[in-house]
Amino acid sequence: MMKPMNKRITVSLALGMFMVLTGIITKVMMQTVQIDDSQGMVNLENIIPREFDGWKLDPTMVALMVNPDDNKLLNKLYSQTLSRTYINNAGEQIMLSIAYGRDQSSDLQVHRPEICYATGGFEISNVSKTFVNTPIGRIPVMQLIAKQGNRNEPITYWVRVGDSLTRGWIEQKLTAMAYGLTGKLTDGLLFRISTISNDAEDSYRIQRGFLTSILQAVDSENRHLLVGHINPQGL
Amino acid sequence: MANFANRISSLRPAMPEWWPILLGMLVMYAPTFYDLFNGLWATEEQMHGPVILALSIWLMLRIWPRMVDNSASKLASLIGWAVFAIALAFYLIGRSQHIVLFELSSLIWMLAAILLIKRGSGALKVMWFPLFFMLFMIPLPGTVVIALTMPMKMAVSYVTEHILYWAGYPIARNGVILQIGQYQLLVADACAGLQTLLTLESLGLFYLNVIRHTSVFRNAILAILIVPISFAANVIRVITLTLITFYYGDAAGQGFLHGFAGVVLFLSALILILGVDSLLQYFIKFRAAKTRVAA
Repeated sequence: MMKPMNKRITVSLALGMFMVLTGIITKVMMQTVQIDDSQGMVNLENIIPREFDGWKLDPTMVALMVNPDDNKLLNKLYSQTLSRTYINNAGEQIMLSIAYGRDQSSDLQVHRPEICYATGGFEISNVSKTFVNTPIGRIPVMQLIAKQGNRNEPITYWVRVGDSLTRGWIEQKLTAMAYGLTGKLTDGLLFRISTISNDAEDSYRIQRGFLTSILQAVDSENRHLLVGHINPQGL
Repeated sequence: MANFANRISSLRPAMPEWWPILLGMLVMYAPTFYDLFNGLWATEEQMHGPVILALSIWLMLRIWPRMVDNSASKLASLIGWAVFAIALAFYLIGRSQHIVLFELSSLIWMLAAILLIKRGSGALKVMWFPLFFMLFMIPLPGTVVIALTMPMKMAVSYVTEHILYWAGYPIARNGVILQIGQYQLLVADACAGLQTLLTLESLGLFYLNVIRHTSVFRNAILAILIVPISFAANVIRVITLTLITFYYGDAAGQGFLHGFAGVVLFLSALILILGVDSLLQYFIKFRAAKTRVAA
């Protein structure tokens, strides 16, 4: 009678031991996570040029924010945001929105436009992954169309997590996790441009041109902030 | 209550065998639940979480003696240890990477593993419902919520628009934005009713499990019907809110009466569920009477 009872307790002890051990390992892993301050503070206002390659700030437009009510959420999620409207010589307009977040652990992750726009009452369609070829490299981007009433808004965006560009939930999550498992917190940035137009193809053409211009106009030492480490061979 | 005390004291001789496991559970899940109560579960949309947890624990304590009677108490199945490893991995990744989905589901794997290892597969068969029920306290991943919320919002807005238009109100709809009179209402995510649906479904299943009604037909039909019922209740809520705004203005619609609309939602859901249940019972009786006559 004594022996089976001992065995039962041994099994329980083994279970308990593994559980306590896992608890401790998890605790240790969580403590090593620290903000990587090596990149220093960024100032989006200064980094992004106001005038370049035929584009300049449109003084007549105040960039439309999606969901102005959600400013509190925005401030919690992002350490810095920038919204601007640019206009070129041909009178084509582009809305630029950049959101920078220092901590990409789950609760504070950069929110993708699919979500922000849908929450704001837009219908989202034609979501697709594609690339934009620029002189500094091949940029993976997501394109989608947000529609509300008469307002049709083709959007191009990417989310940088650490050194990588991601598109969509799975990529963003996996990259953030890969960084998380190495024990450091990483920063993230949403880069979004959009036009209000019923012609999606034409919009994307304008947006590709805008992207190529703005990425070349940004100082090369600040470019990693927008696109991480892009491999120029990817051209 | 005496019954409950008896049950607790009947567990006492098993204590030396169970305390290492309890200690392990405490080390792992006390921080988890501490964080949940101070974070996610304190928010409005996840308020049902602690309720589900309490109900599952109650269910487990309730059927614990039955589990003990029905299980072989044989030790260490290989599958059990595999499930245990999955539970530990989910916990480790989930907690250190802040993925609540993994962290909380590890609890279900963990309980299943402990039952398998300590009491064999018979125990799991008895305990399946509380473990299944715990799924309802795991928050759905954001992407799933969005994928489901948008069509539900559209459907709620669509039906609301048509009912009110049919009733003669000056209403128009643009996507999920309703325009009634001079007011514009954005049907928010909460109004999609995904959370309402999950809460009602879980409480409905709980009710059915506790009542243990003998008719499988009635249980299954009722469980399925909760889906359209919660949709209907949601439409009633949005209509109520729209009309409050129409007659009493924006401030009323967003203020105290917003809470009132939530009460309307649950009352209408309750009335609908009870009504459908009575109808089903009537139908079953009717059918039984008919077969008796036929025989």
